[in-house]
Amino acid sequence: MQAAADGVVVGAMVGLAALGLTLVWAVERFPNIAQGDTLTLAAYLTFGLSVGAQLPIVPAAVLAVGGTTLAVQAAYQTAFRPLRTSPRVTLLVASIGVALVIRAIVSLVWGTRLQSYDLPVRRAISLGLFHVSLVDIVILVTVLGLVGAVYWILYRSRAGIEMRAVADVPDLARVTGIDTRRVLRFTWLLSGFVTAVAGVLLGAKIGLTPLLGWNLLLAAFAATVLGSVGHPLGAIAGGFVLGLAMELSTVFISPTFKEAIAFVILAAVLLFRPRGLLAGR
Amino acid sequence: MAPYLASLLLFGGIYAMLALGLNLQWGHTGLVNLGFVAFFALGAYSAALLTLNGVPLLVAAVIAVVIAGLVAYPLGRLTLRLQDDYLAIVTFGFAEVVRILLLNTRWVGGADGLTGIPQLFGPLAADVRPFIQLGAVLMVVALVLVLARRLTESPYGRVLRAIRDSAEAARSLGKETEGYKVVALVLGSALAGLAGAIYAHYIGYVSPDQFDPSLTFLIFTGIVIGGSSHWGAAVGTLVFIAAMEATRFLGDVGLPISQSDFAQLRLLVIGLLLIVLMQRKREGLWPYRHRERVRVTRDAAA
Repeated sequence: MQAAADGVVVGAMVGLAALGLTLVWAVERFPNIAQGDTLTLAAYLTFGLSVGAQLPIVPAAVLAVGGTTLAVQAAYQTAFRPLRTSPRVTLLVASIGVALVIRAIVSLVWGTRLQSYDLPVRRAISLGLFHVSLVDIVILVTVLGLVGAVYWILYRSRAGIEMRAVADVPDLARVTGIDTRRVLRFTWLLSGFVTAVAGVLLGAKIGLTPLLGWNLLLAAFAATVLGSVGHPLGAIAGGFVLGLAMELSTVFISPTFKEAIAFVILAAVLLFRPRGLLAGR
Repeated sequence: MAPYLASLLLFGGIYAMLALGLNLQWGHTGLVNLGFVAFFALGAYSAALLTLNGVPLLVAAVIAVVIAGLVAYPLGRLTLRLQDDYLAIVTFGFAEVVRILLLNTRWVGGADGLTGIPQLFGPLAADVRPFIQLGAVLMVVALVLVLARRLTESPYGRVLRAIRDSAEAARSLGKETEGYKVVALVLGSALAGLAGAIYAHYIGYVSPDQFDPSLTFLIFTGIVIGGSSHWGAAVGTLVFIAAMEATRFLGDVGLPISQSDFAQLRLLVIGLLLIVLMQRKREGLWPYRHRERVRVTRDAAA
């Protein structure tokens, strides 16, 4: 039972990371390798502002989310936008570059040893069969709220409808008068924001190392593909499946093989249903 | 001094082989293999396990090459019928899985790895051995270079570059692009396996930390700098790796930067180079040029 509860919390974070991934993947048409290190950056900024600059944790987290969103936008403007007419694989390779740059900067500024936020210690709340901590509850509430918001933006707001149009057929979208440049900017803002929130939560749950986000990347890829690229609810559902599968596997096999489970799921999806479970809906 | 130089050159030969393998995938076919180092590791570990159990080195090397190639096959089949991105993700995941398995499997030595692997030309006297080893490795590299050139000069190689430049166009000419891509992936990975087999039997031990994922990016950057021609890829990689290694000595001349910070700075340089190269010089310094068979066409015209 405890493994299942952990799985739900891990799944929520994988889902959030996948949500940030799926937005950019659908519109820009490449899997952003820098996604993992963006999570790391958000976590370390929170750490730097709360432990380093002695801010209370909540304003520190808010500032870190803002800072990371801006950093993602800067990466888009400098690294990805100049490649807008290039083959998509060049964006993929450039995103490896962005990932390495972020990781190097994080390691240079904050070092490579394990660190953690200075959170007040609270006893875990016991709910009979399993227990949860305050951090877990904050994670679940935030994830559900964010997913709702992203879903509303994509399917109800003008900006979101334009985004989906560009994701479907970019040329057609341009012909109908959609400002693709603005749409791309907005996509990276939204993705950066979601990823930043995921990173802050991830840091709270797991603790900080420069490979924090990179280690979650494979699961996030698997969740994105499982839930169909471009589907916000699919990404979250995929995240929960991945989180549960990875945590429940620890009951039977050594936890070191969690990532192998993610790989097996990814391979199975590509083999049997390469466009994901929600394709065509 | 001379044995030291021979050892440097030998490592150069191994890196050159890795560069030629990855270049076949990225430079010629446009495939992004983020797990290239895993095939290097597979070659090294399989050859080492075989020779440690008494299999002759030559046989072990051949089996290692076959294993590295065979493992690449299902990964290619799985992903290359889809969009190109999926190969990158799956190879990335594959490399993680290989790393975890090597770290946690007792009979391949876990984190300690395997030691006491027989040396190439082990029976020879220690004072001539380095040079014979170097000669043999350089001959293998030369052979690989010749074969790679034969391959890329052939009609087959032209199709690979056509796929890289526009898979749609190649398909509309009736080329079955998926099969071509799978073969390029398998051959490049097999070459990494060969490099691994030689590597293991040169330094005599293998452990998971020798096959860090950053090695893939290091070679990737090298071949992107050099360009897709075989010499360009090999020389680009060697020069780039040499430059990166040289930074290890910068600490000795009194720069107030720690070794671990240097490791991070190297990563920073690799990252920035990848971004800038993609934007400015995607074809590298020496892009592949198909040699026109002038004489043949003149004969044909006559």
